[in-house]
Amino acid sequence: MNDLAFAVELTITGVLIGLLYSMIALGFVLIFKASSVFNFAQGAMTLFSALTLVGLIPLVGFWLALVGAVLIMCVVALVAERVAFRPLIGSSPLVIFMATIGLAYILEGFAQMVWGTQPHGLKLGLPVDPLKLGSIFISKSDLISAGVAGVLVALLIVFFQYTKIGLGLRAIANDQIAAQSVGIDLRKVWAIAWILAGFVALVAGMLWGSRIGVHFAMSLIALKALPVLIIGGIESIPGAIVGGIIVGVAEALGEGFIGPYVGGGVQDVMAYLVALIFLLIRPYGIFGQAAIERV
Amino acid sequence: MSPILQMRGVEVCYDRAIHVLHGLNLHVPEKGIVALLGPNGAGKSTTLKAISNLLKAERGAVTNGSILFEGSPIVGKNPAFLVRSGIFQVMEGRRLFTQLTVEENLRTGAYSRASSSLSANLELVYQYFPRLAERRRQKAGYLSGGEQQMVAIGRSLMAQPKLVLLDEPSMGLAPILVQEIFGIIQNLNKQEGLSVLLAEQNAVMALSIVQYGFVMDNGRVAMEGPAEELRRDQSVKEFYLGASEKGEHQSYAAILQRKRMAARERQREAAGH
Ligand SMILES: Nc1ncnc2c1ncn2[C@@H]1O[C@H](COP(=O)(O)OP(=O)(O)OP(=O)(O)O)[C@@H](O)[C@H]1O
Ligand SMILES: [Mg+2]
Repeated sequence: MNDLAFAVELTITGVLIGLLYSMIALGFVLIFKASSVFNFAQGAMTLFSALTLVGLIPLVGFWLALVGAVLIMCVVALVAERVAFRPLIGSSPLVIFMATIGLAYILEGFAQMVWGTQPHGLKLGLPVDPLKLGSIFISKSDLISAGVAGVLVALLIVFFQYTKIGLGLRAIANDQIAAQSVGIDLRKVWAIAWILAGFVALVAGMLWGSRIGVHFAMSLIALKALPVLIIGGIESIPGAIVGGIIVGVAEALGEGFIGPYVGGGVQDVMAYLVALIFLLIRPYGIFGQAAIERV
Repeated sequence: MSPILQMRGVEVCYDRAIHVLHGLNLHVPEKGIVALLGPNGAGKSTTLKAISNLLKAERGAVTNGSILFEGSPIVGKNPAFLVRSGIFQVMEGRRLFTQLTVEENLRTGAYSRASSSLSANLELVYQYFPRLAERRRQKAGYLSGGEQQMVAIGRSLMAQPKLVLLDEPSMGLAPILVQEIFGIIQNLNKQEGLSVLLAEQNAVMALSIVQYGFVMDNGRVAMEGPAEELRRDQSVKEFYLGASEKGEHQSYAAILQRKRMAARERQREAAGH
């Protein structure tokens, strides 16, 4: 196979996997937009939701399990908002960040208690044979996962841009106190942001779980979101998408072309390398908003 | 006329330690327009935030006293509930959503209202501020100061409030623009029957459009009265308008001293009755 076809194949694979990274990053973006807080618990939420789904499937079948997992994530989100975050309105972002660390441990511990610590496989019944385009092979299951991620992202963008609650979320992201002054109910909007983040965590957990299995290392996937957020900008949904794709493609190309010369392992470094470059040339990310200062 | 807003003995504390309001008494008549005057740090913004319950975000709280809106106590109510009930604060420094467009900013004002009234309210705002109609798709952060103030006031109209709390709408604006904005505020009061509590350092302008004024100093109402009376009052003139009849500069302390003596005299008079 020639280099060009190889590069195209790697790029496509990179884009597809990148969209899955975007999914993880999206959860962070949602909470950050709503409350300017980096939600340390996003990885734990992903793990928790995937474990819940896997645990429910043998009991009630896939679709009911999915519905059940959605409902359980809603409850988790609402309880977290009510118990941990609402009382902290007006506290410094650092305090709220620490609350999210607490939430992460509680979720991980709780998941362990209910579903045990052994890893689980998650079969979504996605096709295993690759799609052949000329000399290029593309994984069908990656294609489907990326499609699901793409649809979810599109829905979120429409939600933010064209609904009243989306407007409220954008207003809160811009100026929380002013948002309160115009009658936007912080508690309601936060609750909705947490529910959305929980839902995104579930979809990410499901898609990632079907690739790598569901186990405790999953909450570490969140680490992959960091470079994505640095590249795309932590408050931008399009940023999460583009950042994810850049990371995915950089990883695939790095592994494919540089990996053989250095004995592999390039993949894990690439994301951070690219993020570092972005930190130097564009510290608030591609879509990050520099504050508009004009008085 | 019965008051739409009544504050009695209100005390406010920041961080549970810094006392800022020490028993404030104030009222706004139904469909009235009232000024809240006072120098920097007197507690005007704190008073308005106590009414709209925006103190919590700054770790402040009403520790004593009562605030009645249309006769019902409102201390501790959720800010969103208060907006729905008809109180809307236009915060100091305008506080627009700089990343949203002008029209999106206006729509946030209607957040507490049913969407059915949205377009009619937008029309009303554009009628009062035709300049905003031209700029509706522009990001609010890039507007001029005067246009931003128009958006801030327009945003309050979108909520169909009964009482607006305006915090220094003249801040940073050229005199001619201040005149334009104050003219519009006066019109809103007259034509839409909007009750207005106007916190201002620009006492001359404020007293030219209000019916009644409260002068704050150090977290208390130091003086109150009908606008013409305050306009004529010598100590108000000297203190806030910076004009002395003898044309000589008076020290801040000297003015305060005279004011305190005058206040004591009044108290004695009141006690005598
Ligand atoms: N968040 C806060 N924490 C502690 N003290 C505060 C806080 N906000 C205001 N203060 C203090 O309360 C007092 C009154 O402030 P406030 O902003 O109400 O005054 P103001 O009359 O609006 O002044 P200005 O005309 O400068 O806007 C000031 O001494 C100020 O330092
Ligand atoms: Mg002030």
